Amino acid sequence: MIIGEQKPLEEIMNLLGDARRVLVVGCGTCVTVCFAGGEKEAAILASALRMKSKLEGHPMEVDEVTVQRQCEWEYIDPLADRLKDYDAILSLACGIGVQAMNERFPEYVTLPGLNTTFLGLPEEHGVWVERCQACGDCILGLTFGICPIARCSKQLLNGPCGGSQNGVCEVSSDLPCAWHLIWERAIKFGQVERLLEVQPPKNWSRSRDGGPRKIVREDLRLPREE
Amino acid sequence: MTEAFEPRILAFCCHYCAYAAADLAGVMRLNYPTGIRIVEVPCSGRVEVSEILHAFEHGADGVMVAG
Amino acid sequence: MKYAAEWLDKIGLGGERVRMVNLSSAMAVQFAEAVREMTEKIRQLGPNPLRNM
Repeated sequence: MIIGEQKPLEEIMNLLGDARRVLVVGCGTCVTVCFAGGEKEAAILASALRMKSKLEGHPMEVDEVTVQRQCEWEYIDPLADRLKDYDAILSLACGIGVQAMNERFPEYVTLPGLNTTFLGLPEEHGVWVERCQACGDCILGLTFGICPIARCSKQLLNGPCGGSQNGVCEVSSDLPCAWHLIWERAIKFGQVERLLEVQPPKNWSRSRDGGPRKIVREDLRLPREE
Repeated sequence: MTEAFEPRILAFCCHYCAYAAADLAGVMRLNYPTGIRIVEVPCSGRVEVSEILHAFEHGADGVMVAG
Repeated sequence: MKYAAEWLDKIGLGGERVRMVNLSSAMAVQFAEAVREMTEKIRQLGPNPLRNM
């Protein structure tokens, strides 16, 4: 899922500037599960903004609402009638949700309350780690299910490098070497020879190198009105 | 600070332990400050952070979660 | 509890205003004691500045 992290309260206050009436819009999908921008976090932030602005002598009226998924029109459309009551809208969704709000409601500016951090998973309670970089050309089938693009600091295809010491990456003592993990998996399955085949440079044209990406599925498109 | 300041403290008390303890304190005629306001909850794990903030927003001087 | 205290710090009310206590149903004396302690601590911290705003 998409992992996000709430921006510092000071930064959010600065973004909101002179706004007197603020709507905090939470998202019920990824950022709910990573405790960054769901219903609970929206309620906490709204309350915090009301108190802090009051203490600083310029009270804001802050309401909150949480939609199931801020990155789909169907879920945000019902907000249309409410937005006119506010001078600022603060989204607690990922960057996709913030942009969906701005695109769907172009007459309002929706501000971001989170930093969208990465695609990953909760390794344990309270610890999230990056697992995918959406490179567009998955090689997990070659690397025994461990991604060297997302998890090797150098994104090596024929690793490990000399910075791998006792299974740990030189970048940080709490960062396992992805290639060490891949080798361990290869040994476990008795298929080390598969890793000895040299991988050519990766085709990055399916990544961000070709600019923003797009998928079109003609079979799923609705008939266009002429 | 004026002498008249009597802290108003909201106490979220678990039905099974702290609320029963408070009840017993009453039965035992124990004295404790009068500024405390008790809210009984089925379990202290039930208390949300937003509810603690709500208490402060509405003038509580302190909040206790007892379970 | 730590999370609630962090928010109170960020807001500017002070994280010491919130406290968790563990009691059993038989601990009436400790309950009264905890309430006294908390009241004294809050008395030192002073009133919630939002109260009369």
